Amino acid sequence: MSDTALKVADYKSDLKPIWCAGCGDFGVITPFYQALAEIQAQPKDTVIVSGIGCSGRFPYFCNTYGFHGVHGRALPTAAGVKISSPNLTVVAVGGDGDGLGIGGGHVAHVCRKNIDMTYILIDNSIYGLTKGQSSPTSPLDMTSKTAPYAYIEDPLNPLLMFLAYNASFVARGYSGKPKTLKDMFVQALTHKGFSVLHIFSPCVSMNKQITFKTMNDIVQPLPDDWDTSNRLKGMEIAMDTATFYTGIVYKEERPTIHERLDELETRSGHYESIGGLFDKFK
Amino acid sequence: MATHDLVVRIGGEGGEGVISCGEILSKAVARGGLNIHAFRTFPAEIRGGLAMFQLRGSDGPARSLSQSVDVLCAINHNAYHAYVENIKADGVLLYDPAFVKIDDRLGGRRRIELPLDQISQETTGSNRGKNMVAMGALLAVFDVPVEYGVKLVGDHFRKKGDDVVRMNQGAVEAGHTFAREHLKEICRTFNRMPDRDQILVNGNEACAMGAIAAGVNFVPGYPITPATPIFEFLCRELPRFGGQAIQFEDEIASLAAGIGASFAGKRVLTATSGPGLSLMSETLNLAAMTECPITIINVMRGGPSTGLPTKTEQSDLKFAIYGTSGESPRCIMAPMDIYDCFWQTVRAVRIAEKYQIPVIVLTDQALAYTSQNIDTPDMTGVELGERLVPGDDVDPATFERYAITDTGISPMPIPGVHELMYMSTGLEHTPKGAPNYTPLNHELMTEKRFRKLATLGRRVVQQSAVEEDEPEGVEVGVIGWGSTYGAIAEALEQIEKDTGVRVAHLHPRILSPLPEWRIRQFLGPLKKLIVPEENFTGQYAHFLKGKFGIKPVEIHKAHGIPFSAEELYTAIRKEL
Repeated sequence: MSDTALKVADYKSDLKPIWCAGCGDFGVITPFYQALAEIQAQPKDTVIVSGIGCSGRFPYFCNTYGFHGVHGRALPTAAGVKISSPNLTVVAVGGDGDGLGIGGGHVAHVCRKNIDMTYILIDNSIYGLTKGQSSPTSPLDMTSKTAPYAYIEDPLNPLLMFLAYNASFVARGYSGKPKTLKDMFVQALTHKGFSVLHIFSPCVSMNKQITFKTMNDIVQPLPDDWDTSNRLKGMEIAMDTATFYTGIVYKEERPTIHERLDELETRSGHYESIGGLFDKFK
Repeated sequence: MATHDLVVRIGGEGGEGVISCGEILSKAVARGGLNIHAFRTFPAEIRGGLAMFQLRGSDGPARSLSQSVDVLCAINHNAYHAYVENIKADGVLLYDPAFVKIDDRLGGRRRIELPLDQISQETTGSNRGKNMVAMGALLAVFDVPVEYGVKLVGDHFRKKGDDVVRMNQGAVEAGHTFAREHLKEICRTFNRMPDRDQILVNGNEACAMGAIAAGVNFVPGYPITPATPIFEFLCRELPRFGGQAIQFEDEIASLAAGIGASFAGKRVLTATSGPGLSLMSETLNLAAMTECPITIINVMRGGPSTGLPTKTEQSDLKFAIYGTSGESPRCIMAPMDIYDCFWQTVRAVRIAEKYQIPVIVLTDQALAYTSQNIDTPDMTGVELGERLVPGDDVDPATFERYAITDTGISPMPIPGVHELMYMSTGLEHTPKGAPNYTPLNHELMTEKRFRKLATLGRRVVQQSAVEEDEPEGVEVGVIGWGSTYGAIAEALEQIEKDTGVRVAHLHPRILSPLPEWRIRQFLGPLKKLIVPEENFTGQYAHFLKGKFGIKPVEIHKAHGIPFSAEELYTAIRKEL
């Protein structure tokens, strides 16, 4: 397979996506296939790990290795794959409930480790698969099946959070503009270190408040001369909730966990055999 | 040949060097050719900041801790106060007269002054050498040449400089000289067995070494008492073998990462304790469902909830076997002593890899903090267990990751190695890995996963001498598990010595799946079965009851401390 160039179709599995007609997630997976083809990712060397939710089905539709784990644990599971097997291309994917609700505690730590993998957070501000409960990014006052009168919590700001946790590559996208996503995926997949893409992807079935229409009104690409090395500026646009800026907000080259582990190996030294270890206890 | 046995307890204030004194003494006594069984507790867990180290040395097998001691070395009054009544009737109290006030609780027991403070002041100019004076004196009591201690003290303090080394070595020698003059009457002689190829390790160290010997190359972890030392050991040693030990933010992440690494083809082990195992239970099912091999060493502590973190209990058994939503196969094992901690860990990793199941090894705080000298493990010819992988001739179009086979075990491709991409999923799936919720498929796949356990159950070969030894005409038998082995074995030996009655003893190391044929064979001639456990409800007894319809006599102890041979002697003898 590696002798001939792989085409976009080579990354599609036999399973057809089960998402609702018009679901924003189609606008995520199509440019993702294109990006895999552009970087010529080898299916046998690529692992996609997902959590639970509509977006958790993502790896089933890709002709790569896939792992569909438990709710909220896509990041640590993917971390285990990548840390242990640095030659694999590893992608974690999940929704706002999976990654910011039940799995929110893992985000900070995976950023700190700077593992050379990509996290695609597909945000629709609702629990879609379970048919319409409030999520960590549901806006204040939005009604849902678990907030029949009004949602009384303030929403998380995922972009601000990833910047605060110092992920080494932070981008924001919108599945209503899939063409802009391909390049973002390519850059994320080729970034050395942990890359995260926060992609807003409207749920056409369950979220009647944030829709393609409302998003189209506020989405705007980052300026052409945007400085991706300025984290503080990134935080400023993250806090601008009136405009949904898309593009690569921040990136930084810093040592990955593997580079740091390699350095540790020179400090720990090596045993020739287990006998060397036993000798210490004689 | 009569065996000679000596149990010494050292007690003092935390920070007075009780533990380092005990550790160096243990090593010297082991090198001096005795079998040792050492146990320690830390100030943090005993009111008043009392630290305790107990060392049993024997020229026979030293299989259990003893409740009562031959010699109590009390460095301060608290130690005297706490332990005086544990001295045997013919035992002796060694005490520093400057700190210990004798009262009538000593009864008729002998006492000998050991002026630790004074000797330390004279030789080192301060009271900081007290523990080393005690060590020197106890070396004489154990009949171990003082040179062993002097050399070990040199190694122990080398980093602190020559002055510190000389000062401490002087204290050891002074203590030894004092003992040769004043403690002659309690110095023992032993049939020593020097020059054996042995290592001195505790249960946690033995498990960690077993993991390395088993070829484990990825260890995710999260600290939890009393399992933390396993992870610390592997953080230090695994990189030296080219493996990785990585700390995660909690046990959930830790096990999830372990499953990810296992999916990617690594040999994975993690260590935890009850509360951590509880957090892992959902992810544990994921390992069973995706058929990713993984080994968990669960060092049991007193529970429930935060419970008694620094104490021992055998109370995670039911959770280990049944603690799951839905039904998923797991193998539950329990090593019975320090030597076994090493070998059962090797075996656990082998079983996990071969059967593609999670394996939980139940040790406990007592094993974790007990040291024994054991034969240096010889890995020559030991089967480590390879995962079944697809052959080169497999057709990707028809390949089934979860193929139905006679054993239940299906070939598992490795990302980056095999061009056989598949979905590994916690959803119920077809043999190919596609989600499928139809009734017959669920039954088929559940049966397939449990078939691995049945295959394992058939192949279990029990290895211990006690399991093979089936005395004729025996009417009473004991089934134990885990760390109670030594205390049970010693209690039964003493019962036979005193009454002439032999009691059979079975101590399975694989608790689930049950080695059914073996247990049936054992139960065959028995009129009475006794199951002692360190828990409140009799967890293994219930498991056996459910499986074999028997009604064992249950002996429970939920004190946070292990059974002693003396206690079991009394409890079992009552049933004869």
